[in-house]
Amino acid sequence: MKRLMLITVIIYGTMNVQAQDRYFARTYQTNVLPKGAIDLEFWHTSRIGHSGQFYHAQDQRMEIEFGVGKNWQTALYFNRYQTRFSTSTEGTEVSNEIGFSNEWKVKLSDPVANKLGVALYGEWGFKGGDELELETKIILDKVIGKHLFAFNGVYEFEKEFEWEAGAAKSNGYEMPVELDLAYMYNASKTVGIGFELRNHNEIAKGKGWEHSVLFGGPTINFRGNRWFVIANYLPQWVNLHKTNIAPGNKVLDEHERVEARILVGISL
Amino acid sequence: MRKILFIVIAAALAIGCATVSNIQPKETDLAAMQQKVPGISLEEAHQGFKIYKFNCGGCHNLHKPTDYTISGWQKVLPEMLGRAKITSEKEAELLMNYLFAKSK
Repeated sequence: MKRLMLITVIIYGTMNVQAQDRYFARTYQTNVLPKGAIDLEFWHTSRIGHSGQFYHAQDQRMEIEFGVGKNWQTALYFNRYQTRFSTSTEGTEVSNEIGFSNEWKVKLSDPVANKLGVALYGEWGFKGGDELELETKIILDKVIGKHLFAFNGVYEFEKEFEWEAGAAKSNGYEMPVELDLAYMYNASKTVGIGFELRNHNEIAKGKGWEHSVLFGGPTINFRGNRWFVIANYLPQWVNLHKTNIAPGNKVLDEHERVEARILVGISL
Repeated sequence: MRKILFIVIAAALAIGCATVSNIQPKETDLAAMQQKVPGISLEEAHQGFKIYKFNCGGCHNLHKPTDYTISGWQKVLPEMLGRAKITSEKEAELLMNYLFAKSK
């Protein structure tokens, strides 16, 4: 009987793949695909509203994830950034950029099998041919019954270059630190409702800690065997660290009034 | 800010890596496990647990083995083992024996 079940399992297994469970639009979890598994994700993020001007940015990412074994996962991203903004009452301007990035994630412990799930994450990429981005994260998560908690501590390094006489020159860099906190209640096997908080701290060479912006809003998750859809609405709440550079209650030049993201994941 | 991040990272690594929940098989569970899967050794149960943790936990949050009875696991596993890329008969058997042994 057991042997028959084993054979059934193995035959069935060669015919099936599954989208990795992802619950949040912003906050990462410790899940790492098993070796040989491949997932595809499509992201769309709208960022709307700057002070004193029309501003609408649309970021699109296509991600392909691979499980490489021994608790490691990698992913390739193809990114497109479009920004539409007004500089006068004459109309709007549009800028378009493309980018590429590559992430690596290693899972150190599991949110159910251990007291706390822990993973380390690194990502590097180029945006528009003149901006280098490096991003590292520590990912923590915990599952307690139908309740899922996740926290990300993110440290980024961003450097812009200008091409002059065939040589790349750069005037400085930024090192934002971001703290993300998320909670989800999984009402059923297919639906989860939660919220995400995002605290972005801008730290730049020569300027120091410029501001600390807090975003927060609801996230809803629908999932099936081979797909998931996640939607998140994230308005800016407050600037927690006012400085001469960013003296207002909100930061509406480097950040937007609201961000909204929809994310679709499917198996190949 | 950096000191706080460093403390968070160190504490998380310590808590996450040095602790296990009660789904990990222990010496004290062995008699109860052998009642459900006669002859299972602690070493075999550990191997099954590792496969469960790494392969199944890659795609979804793990269920506690006690969430299902043996017949419940028998219904779930044929589909799930394949999705977890477990195609070796030996690995499948270790995983099944672990889950059956720790089941409801």
